[in-house]
Amino acid sequence: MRKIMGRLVPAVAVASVAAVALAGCGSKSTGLVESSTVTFSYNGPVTSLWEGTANQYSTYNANVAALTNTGFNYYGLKNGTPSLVKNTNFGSYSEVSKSPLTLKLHVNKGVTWSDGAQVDAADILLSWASGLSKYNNPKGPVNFNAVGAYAGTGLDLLNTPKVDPDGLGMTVSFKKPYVDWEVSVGSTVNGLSPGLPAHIAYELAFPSFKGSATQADAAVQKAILTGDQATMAKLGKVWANSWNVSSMPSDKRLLVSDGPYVVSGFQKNQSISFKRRDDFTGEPKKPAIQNLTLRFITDATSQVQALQNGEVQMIQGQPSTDTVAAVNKLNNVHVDTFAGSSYEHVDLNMKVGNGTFDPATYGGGAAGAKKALMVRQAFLKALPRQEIIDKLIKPLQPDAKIDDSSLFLPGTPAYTKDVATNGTKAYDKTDVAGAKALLKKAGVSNPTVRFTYPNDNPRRVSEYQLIQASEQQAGFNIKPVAMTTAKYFPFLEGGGYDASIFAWQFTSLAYTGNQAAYTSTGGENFNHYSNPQSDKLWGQIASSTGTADQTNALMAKVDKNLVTDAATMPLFQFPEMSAWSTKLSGVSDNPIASGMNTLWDPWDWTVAK
Amino acid sequence: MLTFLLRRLAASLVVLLVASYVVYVITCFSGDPLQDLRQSTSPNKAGLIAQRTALMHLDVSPFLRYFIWFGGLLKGFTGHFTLGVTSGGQAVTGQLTAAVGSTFQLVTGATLIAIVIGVALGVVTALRQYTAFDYGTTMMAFVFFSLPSFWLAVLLKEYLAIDFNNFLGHPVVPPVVIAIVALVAGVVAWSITERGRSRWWFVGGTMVVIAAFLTFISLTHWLDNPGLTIGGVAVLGVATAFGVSYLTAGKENKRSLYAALTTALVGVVLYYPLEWTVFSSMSMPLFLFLGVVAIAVGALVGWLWGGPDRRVSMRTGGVVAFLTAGYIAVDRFMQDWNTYVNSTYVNGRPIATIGSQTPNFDGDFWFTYIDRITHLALPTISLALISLAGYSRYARASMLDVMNQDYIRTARSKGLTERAVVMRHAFRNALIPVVTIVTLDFGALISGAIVTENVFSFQGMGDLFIAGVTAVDPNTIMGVFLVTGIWAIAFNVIADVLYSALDPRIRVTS
Repeated sequence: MRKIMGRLVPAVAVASVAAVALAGCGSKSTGLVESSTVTFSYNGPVTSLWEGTANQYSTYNANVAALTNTGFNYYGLKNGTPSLVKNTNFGSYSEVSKSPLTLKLHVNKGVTWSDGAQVDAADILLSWASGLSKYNNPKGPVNFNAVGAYAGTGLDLLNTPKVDPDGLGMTVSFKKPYVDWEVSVGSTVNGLSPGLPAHIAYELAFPSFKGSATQADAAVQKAILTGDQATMAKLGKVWANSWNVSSMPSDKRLLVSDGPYVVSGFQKNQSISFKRRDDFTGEPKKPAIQNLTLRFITDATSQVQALQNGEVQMIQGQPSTDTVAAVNKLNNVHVDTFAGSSYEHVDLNMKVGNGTFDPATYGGGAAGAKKALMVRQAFLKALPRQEIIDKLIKPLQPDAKIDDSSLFLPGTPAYTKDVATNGTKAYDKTDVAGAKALLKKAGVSNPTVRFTYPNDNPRRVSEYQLIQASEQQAGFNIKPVAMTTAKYFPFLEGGGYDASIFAWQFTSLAYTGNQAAYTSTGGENFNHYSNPQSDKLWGQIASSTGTADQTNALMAKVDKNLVTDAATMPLFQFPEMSAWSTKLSGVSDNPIASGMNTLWDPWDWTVAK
Repeated sequence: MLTFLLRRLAASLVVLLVASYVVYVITCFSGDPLQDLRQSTSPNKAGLIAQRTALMHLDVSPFLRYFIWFGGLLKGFTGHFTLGVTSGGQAVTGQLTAAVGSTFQLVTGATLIAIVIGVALGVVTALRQYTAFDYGTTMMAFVFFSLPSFWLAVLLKEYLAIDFNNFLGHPVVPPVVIAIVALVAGVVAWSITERGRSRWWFVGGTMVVIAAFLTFISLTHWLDNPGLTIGGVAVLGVATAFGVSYLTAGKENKRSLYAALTTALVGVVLYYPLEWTVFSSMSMPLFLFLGVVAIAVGALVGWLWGGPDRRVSMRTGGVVAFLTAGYIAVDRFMQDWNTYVNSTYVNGRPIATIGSQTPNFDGDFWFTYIDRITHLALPTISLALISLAGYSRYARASMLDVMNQDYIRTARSKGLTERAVVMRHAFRNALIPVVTIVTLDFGALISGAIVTENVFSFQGMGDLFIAGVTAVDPNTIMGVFLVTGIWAIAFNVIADVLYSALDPRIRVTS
């Protein structure tokens, strides 16, 4: 044994010395490539690079479009409230005739896709044609599977557009007047602003095609203008499926963007990154920040802790009292709580067997209708609207106010005008005594109200409890009809209740956004509200050619009818919260942005070193 | 044996088939896949509902719709295998691949760590039954076991990520903390040793070493720029050589000790050459290959030392080589730590609270895996802490059971050392039932850790399952069901085979 050790030790010693001596020669280069980015997080993953299909239209995917699509206009903020702003750097549009409604659109020369191709009429045509009802038949040959295929309204009723000789613009005329044409002009999803690049769609639809982008655009244009079914079928398939990827695609053509940023990285279920396009001229303003990264964090507490740990610089999600408290404790973080675009309301069911609010229960006719109206008014009078705000909303959003209009977004000038006349103010204060008196006058004692609400939503359960306590005092006998959210909406459609709470959402400032909920035959009119005068007014509104003020006045009349008929009562807007590091400046929340509320103006953001 | 396995597999397949039908139908009736569209205010509501109905075949009764899905499976015979599309219109197979990947990333490390530490704790607590250490470990294990995982995750993020990152900004441990940590270590040391004079030497030594280490870290700001250097690797290597040799071969086996020491020395000698050659172009396969090479070299050294029981020396050499290679790798990672921490990717806050990596991270093998490790640290710790309890309990019970057997008494009475009795006779047999549990746990592993996945933003199998349930999307659910089902069946079979292989008393007959 000693012998072996004797031989081994010197050998090891020599090797060690040699090793140490060699150590001096080694030079190590660092294997790290640095890059800086502003990271923000939202509460769900981006699941598709294109938001325009029926099965991928979500606020999560809208975040991609917010950075990679530009249109003729966008929702900006005017004195803190959303309003439509023209984007003249992208192109111009104007109304050349009111009867028939005719528009001229023109994209500025030099506004390009990120592969260098000019944005042109073919792109606009594809955006429009993809939403035509004749091209959206799930069982037919052509199916774009578009989210915005509105049969029989708006852009579905366009005459075949006339493309300008330079190929960058067009003249379109409507078969029927359309009040929300300006919203449609700015829409990149089945609107009159480009969504997906037509030349890429054509290349994908015809893999053997080897021509230029201009030739591809010409082919798309021809197919749409002549209604070439075979080509449209192929384009539709590509439009509906090719961009539906949830990680970085191997085909980089899918990343081609006509927005201020272009997707530079996409890690499934984790993050998506964007790089500024320095060749783009179509955005309202050149962004200051070069790289943006959106991380997907579904858990609200995790978002706050990631912000605290510096992994993200901006967060947004549904606030709870816990997250608001946690985020308020952080240093160097700006917290913005604001009223969102969804509004909670109570609906009273006016046509249901044994319905407390149904005229038929009181014998029908004028007398029955009058009795039922008084009962409804009594119920609405006793609604504890301020108490709900104070107890449930103010902890999340200290400056929360009662929402007084079913048709207008609070804060807009039209809302202020509407509220002055619609009569909702009379219901702002809870009036239990008044409700009792009305019930007495109607000659109804202790009416039973089947009140339905989703019991897996804590806030709605609390709302129910507050309402129940107050209505009970007024003499209503509240019978809860509770169920899970999954069962709730089919139930609302089916009936079997007297009163319900749920929310509608404004996703645009379109006049006709809520039409389906408040017309007699509307698809979302769950409570069977019917007022012939309002129905007529909706018809006028949809085809209104007057000024915004005139249309708003018509809307105000509808809203007044809603209050007079005591059919529904708005409660509050959903509280929303964004928080960002004080290193970021120029960030602001826009309640009706389609994705993250802060993402509407990335060109205004700056970051301190 | 083979007929037994085949019969077993065939039976499982039938169960899987029947279960798949039941699960499919139950999923279809579990909710309303059109729910989100019903509350839509879109003027195109009817169109959207028609599109989804066509995509998900909602116009076909669930009892028959199953066969549309099953047809996709059968198309595998013609090379057009499909698990259908999700309600979002994407292929289920693609979703599954991604989810399986991130679940493995998340749970594999945690499970391995939990097994190693859990079994070790179980064995030690069994050997020190009814001591303070036993009670203390049992209590802590149950505390972690019963902590809600989301809460544990939030605590870990608060203290091990946010506060620890703050600490790294100025990595100096206050003297009070050093004293407290040393004291706690002393109590642990006291509780695992037996009465006698050597106990106090051990306790004192532990306290001094811990205190000295923490003071060293504070004084040199070691955490700013950590590293073992060749000296550290040497010290650790030699210590490991002594430790491993003692545990596997015993004090009296000198050849084994020399083999271990030689192996450690070879590692130290290779420290610089490795750095200049293979380390600069490292990749994961190469990294794993080097680990295997290290074990082979260690075994070779053991073989060369020879002696009557070569195999023991080879085993010792292999283990020591593997660990020494590990120290060299850790040292190499540490060399890049400072650059990583101060890079624009993490801005001085290395421990991450979410995700599996920094988005767009662009670095070589070493940086990439530093980034992975800093991201995986918290979820791994949180999962390991929770599952540790189970393993330590099983190992303890099994070890106690074995230690009270007659053959252990026989072994002792024939004069074997306590080490030989414990390591050679008791420990191995105690592992048999634990192996079964571990194998079955691996079978359940892939179904994901739903809560932990959510809190740490790892969208794995758990998350996919939840997404499927919320969307009432049978295709997604069936994808998850198939993968987890087949995986579980496979590991059940493996458990059977392993059990009969480990325990000669058990024979599988058909």
